Amino acid sequence: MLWRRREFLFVPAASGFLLSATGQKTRIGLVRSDHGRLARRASPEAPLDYEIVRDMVWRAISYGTPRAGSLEAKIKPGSWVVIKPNIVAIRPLPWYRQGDITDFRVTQAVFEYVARHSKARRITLAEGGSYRRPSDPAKDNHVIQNGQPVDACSFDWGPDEFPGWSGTMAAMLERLSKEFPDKKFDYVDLSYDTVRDPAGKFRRLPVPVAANGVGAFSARPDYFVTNTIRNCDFLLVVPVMKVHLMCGITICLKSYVGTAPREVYSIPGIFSNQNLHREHETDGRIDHFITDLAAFHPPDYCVVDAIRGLQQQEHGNGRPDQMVRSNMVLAGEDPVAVDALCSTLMGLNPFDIEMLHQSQKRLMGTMDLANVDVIGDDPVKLTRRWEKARRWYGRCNRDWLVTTSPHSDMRGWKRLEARGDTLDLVKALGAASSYGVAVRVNAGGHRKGFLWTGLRGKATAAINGQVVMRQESDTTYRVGQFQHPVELRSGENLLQFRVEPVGGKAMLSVLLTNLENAGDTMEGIRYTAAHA
Amino acid sequence: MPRSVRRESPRDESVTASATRGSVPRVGVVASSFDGGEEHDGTKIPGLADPRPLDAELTDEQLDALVVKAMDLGLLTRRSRRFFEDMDPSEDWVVMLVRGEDGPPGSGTDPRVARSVLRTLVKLGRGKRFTIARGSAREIDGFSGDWRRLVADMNRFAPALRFELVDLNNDAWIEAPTFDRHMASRNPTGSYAVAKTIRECDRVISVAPLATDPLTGVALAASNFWGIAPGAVYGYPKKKLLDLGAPEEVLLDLYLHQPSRYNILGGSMAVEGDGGTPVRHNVVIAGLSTTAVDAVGAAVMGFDPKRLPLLELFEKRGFGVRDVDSIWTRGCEVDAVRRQFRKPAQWEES
Repeated sequence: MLWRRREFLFVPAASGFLLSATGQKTRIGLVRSDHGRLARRASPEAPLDYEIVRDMVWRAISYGTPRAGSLEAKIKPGSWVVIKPNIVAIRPLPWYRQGDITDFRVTQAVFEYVARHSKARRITLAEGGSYRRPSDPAKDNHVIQNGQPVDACSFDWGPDEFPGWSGTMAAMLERLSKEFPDKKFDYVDLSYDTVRDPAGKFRRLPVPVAANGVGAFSARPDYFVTNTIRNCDFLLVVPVMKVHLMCGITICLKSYVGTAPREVYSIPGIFSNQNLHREHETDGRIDHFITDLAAFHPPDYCVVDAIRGLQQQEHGNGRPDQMVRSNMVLAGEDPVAVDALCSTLMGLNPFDIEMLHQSQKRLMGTMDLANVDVIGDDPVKLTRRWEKARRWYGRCNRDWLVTTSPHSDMRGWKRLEARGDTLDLVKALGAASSYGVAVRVNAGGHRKGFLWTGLRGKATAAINGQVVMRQESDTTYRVGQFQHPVELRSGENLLQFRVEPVGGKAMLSVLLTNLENAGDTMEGIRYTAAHA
Repeated sequence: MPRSVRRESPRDESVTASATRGSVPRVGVVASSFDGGEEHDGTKIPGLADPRPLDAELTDEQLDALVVKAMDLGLLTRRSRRFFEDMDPSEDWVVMLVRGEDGPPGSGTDPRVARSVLRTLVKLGRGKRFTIARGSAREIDGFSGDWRRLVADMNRFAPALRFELVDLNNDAWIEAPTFDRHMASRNPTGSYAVAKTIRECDRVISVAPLATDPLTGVALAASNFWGIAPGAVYGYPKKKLLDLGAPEEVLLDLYLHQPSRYNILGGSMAVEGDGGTPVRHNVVIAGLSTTAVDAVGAAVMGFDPKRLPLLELFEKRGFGVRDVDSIWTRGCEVDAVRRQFRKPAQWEES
């Protein structure tokens, strides 16, 4: 168990009177299919029909109230609302499987809610997936159905994929148009909606600077983005909850990769964002560009489909046990808190999700579950251990005390924040014969676990003065390559390294993991680079 | 509209050509008699320069040609090139996991096969440090002269690189759980003592003989992973491992610590029956998927891969397919090189 009940406030739905007393905390609605206040309930393992899903979605929205008082109150009259589900794949794509994309029943329930309850004027379905639009003249990556090229809006899913829902999103939008004639419903393929300059050329835009001055996390600070995401009044993301190979989870924030226009970021023959990765990946992580993309228009509200999701990795891998049925829906206005709560529900430590740290730094929300009220079902009871990616590792320490004079008094060492997991000492401090590197680790009690080290060079590690590792490596550098059992005492521990370059390189990454040794950060510890 | 190349469903759904990776595993199968063949599309595959009968004694050069051809067909395909070329593997630490010769000739990895594999990798620039590692079922004092000569030869052949021998039975080890879910039913924590060399290296290549085994029917690339659990912890012949679960469960748990990236089976000598009878069968099988390579190896030995619990478990865990009809074999046809190996007396086919 990664959290304790005392770490957050769980408010049973029946205790409605308590809600107003909880003050400024962000609220997240959590509803499982057996939730007591649903009109009709279903077992958490049972397939659901549309009526139950809609009831779950609407109830989660009613519990996950934004500071404005309600979702409909937050949507200003006359607004352009964009609803962005995750439709990265359509069934014929070879990696598609159930749980890969947002359940269309959830998407429809959100549409119906916004159409019925808000005074929005235009409601747009927007997504950019790994398939070309029918009018794209390129020959590759078209989805064909019954001889015709189709897209996310026109693909007919039939009756079996999402029981109780069938047909196309286009038909759904048409139905809604008839039912709500005062509103406009449409679809935008974000893959083809790139912002252009007056001459019609694709134009990169700099990442907006947050109110606290935090800008881009990627070394390259400008991106191709879409008109729709930039210009809409209200962005409502409706992701599916999944494990991700590279960043641990893909939920609210990661869904912004679908807002990067593939018409500019893809490479010939592959209609995905290869160039986004090439230009912005940092130290093996994609979190940097996820947070940057989200900065262009952070979610105004989030509804998470946690009915069926994927473990092990974000797309189908052929394993029969990959799809996880949880029959849950979450809703709230704080994407960071929602992602943090989802991480916990999946058995991950939110501390290990880099994009949560970054988006919190950008003031997009809180990853501290002590600042969250969960309304509805009790998340502690619903937490499960999802199978992570095989090469998963958590967030390595970022804040260091460093020096090129390892024998000098530590009080004179310099504080340094690494951009990623890896501390490249030669780049950061210049060439030297040896480096001193230290961090203090505060532990909530006595802890046993493993020290995961990535190393290029020759290093000695000591905890509280006792040597725990001597290692040399001149081969490929990898986070977590060397693992040594360690113990921490309750309170402050000093972790010190002395690193000598080998072949002109001195690189280091450090992660303290649980005794389980599965790459998750040790429970109840915090790194700090403060001088004593 | 563009040409439709992807799967068809009853609803007539497809995707036009995309650059996604094919999912059909490719396995190179080359016998000493291979005198050429054809790809599925009719492209000619050149044969060996000096084809020899399947049971002929081979010179070092003839065996080398066999290994190189099998690697070429099984590993150096368009798909597998990604594994060689992405992430710049030129500085990788590569461990070649071999089998000690615990029985008659053919029961262990042939050092000549290992030499051919190493030379191929070196020529391709695929590694900086090469460790030949084994953890025999019985306590062996050091590597034989053949292995030591091989390392000396390789250090001369590529002096800028490092070649070494490690006996995993006496290697430093780490107690660590299998990644995610473990399989062994009597190992509640899922933890194993595993040689650090295996946990820390960048890639494992498993090079094994064609051998029968009373525990698992056949002992091929996957079975080399018994060796990563040190005898210093589990004793000899590592019976303590079998206390933790069924052999196939334990073997899969061990494999999960560092799955092999390439697999090469066979050579000139093999063993059949209870592991005590050497036979000459000049076949080399190579590929990326351990399950597929072992399935082809088992089929070549006259076993039905679909009736081997070990391969069934590997397939269930997502490590490829064991149905030979679902594997793209390149080079010789399996039927053409099949030899009915005598099954172990204690082995009961499931």
